[in-house]
Amino acid sequence: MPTDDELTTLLRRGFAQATADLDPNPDLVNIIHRRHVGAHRRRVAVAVAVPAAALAAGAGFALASPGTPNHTAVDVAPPTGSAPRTTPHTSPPIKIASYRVDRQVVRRHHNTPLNCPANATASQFGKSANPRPGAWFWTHGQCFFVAVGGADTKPADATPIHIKGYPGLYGTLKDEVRTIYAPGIGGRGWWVLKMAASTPPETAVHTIVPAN
Amino acid sequence: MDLGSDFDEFVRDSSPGLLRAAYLLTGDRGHAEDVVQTALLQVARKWRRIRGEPAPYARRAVVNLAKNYWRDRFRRPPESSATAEFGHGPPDADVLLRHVLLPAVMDLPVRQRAVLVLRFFEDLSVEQTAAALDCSIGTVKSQTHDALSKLREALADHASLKENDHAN
Repeated sequence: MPTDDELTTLLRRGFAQATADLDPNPDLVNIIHRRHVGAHRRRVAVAVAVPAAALAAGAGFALASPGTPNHTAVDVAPPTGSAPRTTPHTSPPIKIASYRVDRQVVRRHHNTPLNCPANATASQFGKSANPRPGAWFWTHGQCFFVAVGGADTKPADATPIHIKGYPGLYGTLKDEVRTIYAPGIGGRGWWVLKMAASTPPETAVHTIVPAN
Repeated sequence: MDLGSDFDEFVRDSSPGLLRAAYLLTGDRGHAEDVVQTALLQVARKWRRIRGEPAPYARRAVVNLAKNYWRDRFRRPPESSATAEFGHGPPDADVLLRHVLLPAVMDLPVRQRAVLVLRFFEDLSVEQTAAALDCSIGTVKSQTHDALSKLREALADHASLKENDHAN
């Protein structure tokens, strides 16, 4: 039976090994800035739109309750024909999902990670058997290889697949080969991600990033 | 709105550690990245107030978001039925870590796992871990003890299985 010290030493080693090849997105600072600005704008829009909508509906009670400190409830006359109107809210145009290949991820993961088993292979996608661009991923204690390519069209039998944060993907599963089709920028062609059937699709999509 | 260069510096310095901790807590790289981004957004929102010492706030956000991830995970259908089985077995020397210890860590309740990650990956003290998890020092100690006991049981099970294999 290992002592606590031996066990925690093993744990430290295991944690270090499991996270050795994890690096954050190099563009993370810009992503956070963009999302922060977007969230701020949404909060401002809600702060303006909600009270305005409440006023427009003649619901003064929505803003003032008798229990609210430093606030006197006021009877608000029901709106007449010339009730104040808020600026018409228009939804942003729906963008069709499109993707580009994250070349940094592919480049960084192009060589087999050091902590992959020495004899790890990627069946027909292995670089030794058929050299082609792609990326190795070390996750859940397993090594996966994802080959990256392109195609003008996707097969008719491809079915939509749902992966959080990656809308618009299609996939096929034939002869133990999983293929994911991701729309290219501007609807021009498809990115094709090929992997063994046992590879989690969530791993494969790390090679692409939304382009819009 | 303008977060300033010290925020950028904080993101660059802290994100590798946060990502690794999030990965150990969620067990999934994609979700770990989501957790880190959301945690850093929360930090950005509170930046003026916490800029003196943002790391504990960020760490706590990561732990809470990881807990939410596990809670939600049991409420929704799995995103994929694919199982992770690929390639050949790793060398014997690492079997214990990869196939016994780390899976056993992932099987722990999320709070016990968080205690192990904070104490033995982030090297936080018992007091700092208690602050990050918003619990008492005694709870951290008992959770650590329980978690290590479970890991010890997993190792013992593995050892007895191996002995049986050799006997057969």
